Amino acid sequence: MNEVPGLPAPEPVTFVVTVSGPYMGRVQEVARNLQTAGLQVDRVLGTLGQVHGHAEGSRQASIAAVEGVYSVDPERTYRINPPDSEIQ
Amino acid sequence: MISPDAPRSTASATPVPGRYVVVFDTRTPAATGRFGVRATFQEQVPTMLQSQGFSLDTYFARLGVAVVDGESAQLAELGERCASARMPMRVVPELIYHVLADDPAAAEFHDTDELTWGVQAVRAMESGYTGAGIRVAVLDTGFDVGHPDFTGRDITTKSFIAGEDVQDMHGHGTHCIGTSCGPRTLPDGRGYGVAPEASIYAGKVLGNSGSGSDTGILAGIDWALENDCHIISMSLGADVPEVHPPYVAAGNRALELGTLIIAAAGNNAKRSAGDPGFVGTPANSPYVMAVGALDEKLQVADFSARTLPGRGGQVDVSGPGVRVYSSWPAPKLHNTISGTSMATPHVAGVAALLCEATGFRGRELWAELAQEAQRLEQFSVDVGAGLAQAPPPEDTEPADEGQTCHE
Repeated sequence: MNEVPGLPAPEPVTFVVTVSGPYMGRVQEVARNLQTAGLQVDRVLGTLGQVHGHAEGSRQASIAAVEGVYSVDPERTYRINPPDSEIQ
Repeated sequence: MISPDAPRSTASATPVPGRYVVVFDTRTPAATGRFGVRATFQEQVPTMLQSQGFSLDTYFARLGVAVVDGESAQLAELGERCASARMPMRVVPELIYHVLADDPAAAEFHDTDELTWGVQAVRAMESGYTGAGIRVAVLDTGFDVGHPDFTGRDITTKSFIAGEDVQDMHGHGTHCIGTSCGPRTLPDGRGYGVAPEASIYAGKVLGNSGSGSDTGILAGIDWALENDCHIISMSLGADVPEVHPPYVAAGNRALELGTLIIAAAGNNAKRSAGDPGFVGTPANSPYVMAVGALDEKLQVADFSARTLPGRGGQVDVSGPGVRVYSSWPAPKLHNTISGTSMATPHVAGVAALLCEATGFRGRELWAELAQEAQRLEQFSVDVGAGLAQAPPPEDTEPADEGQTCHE
C-alpha cells in the first residue's frame, strides 16, 4: 500500500511477536533480526519467548517472515468495568 | 357423592387417619340486605357443622376452615348437606408436615460475621492449609499496598503501566488479591481470603482507569514466570471469541515451566434473557484455565459466560462469584461485588492450597483442581468440573502401610 504524499504518516501498530519453540533460547537474537526487519523493539520477554514492538501496519508480513518467528499479532486492549459497578 | 380427597403421601407430609380439613368457600354474596339473602356465612357454617355432630373447637371462622374428627361416611354426608344448602366446600385429610431433611445439593451459603460465603463454599478453612510457601501472582489493577488487613504479608509488586505505580486506584486488583490471598480470620471482621499465607505477587497490568493491553499483561506473565510463581490469576479478558495466539504461547510456556494460569471466563452472558455468552480471550486459550461464577445456591451466575465451541474455549471449573466480599482500597477498605473476576481468585486460592498439599504444579495441578471439584447438577458447558474445592485436611489421607518409597 503506497502512502499518499501530503498526508500524515500511518500510525504505528504495536505488535506482539511470539518466538517459535526451537528459538526459545535465542530470543535476543530474534529480537535483533526483527529490528532489522523494521520492528521498533520495545520489550524482549526472555522467559515467555516474545518480543513486543511497533511498526507500520503494512510491515506485519515482513516481520512475520523473520527466522524464529511463530506469529505476529497486533496488540489487543482490555477494559474492566468502573469501580462502582456491581458486576466486575 | 363427595369423597374426601386422598393426597399422595410425600416425604414431607403424611395424612392423619380420621382427621379432616373442611374448607368452606369464603367468597361473600353479591349484596347483603336484599330480600331473600341467605343468613351470613358466619352463622351458617357453625350451625351446619354442629348439626352434623362436628365439634367447633377447631373451626377457624376467619378462614372458613374447620379441622374435624370423623369417618369418611360422615364427611360425605356433610358434603351432601352442604351441597343442598348451596354452601360450597371441600374436604381433605389433615396432613402432618415434616421438616425437610438436610439436602447438601440444596445448600445455600451465607456470609457470616466470621467468614464470607465463598471461602466457606470452597472449604478452605476445613482444609487446614494456608498457601504458605506458594507464590500467587495476581495480574490486575495493582494493590493497595498500605491496606491494614495485609500488614506483615510477603508482597512483591511491579507496575507494567507506564506512568502509574502499583498503588491500586481502581479497586478491582485489591479485591481479587483479597479473595485469593487475604486474611481468613480477622479479630474484628469477616475473613475473606482462601490462601491467607500465600506469597503475593501483585502485577499492575491494568491502569487505574481499568484498561490495559497485551504488552503489559504479557510482561506481567513473564515477570511472574521469572519469579517462579506457582499460580497466575487473571481476572480480565475481552469479549472476543477468537483465540489470541500470544496467550496460547504464554499458557503453554507457563505450563512447561510449572505455572498454572487461571483466567475469568467472562461476564458477557445474560442468561435470564436467554444469552449464555461465550468465553473470551485469554481464558479461551487451550492452555489457560477458564473459571465460571456461581451464586450462593451454587447455581451458575446470570452473567457467567458459557463454553465457547472449539479447542480451549471450555469453562474448566467454577468458583463463588456473586456478592463476594473482599478488600478494597482505603478509605472504603472492603467491598462486595460480583463477577467471574471474583470467581477466578477463589480458584487461584484453592489452587494454592492444593499445591501446598500435594506439591503438584502446572498440568498436574490443573488435573487436581478438576478432580477435586464438587460436581454440580448443571451442564459442564456452564460450570466445567464444578465448584473448586480445597484439599481435605492432612490427617484424612489414607495412612501408608510400612515403608514406602517416594519419588
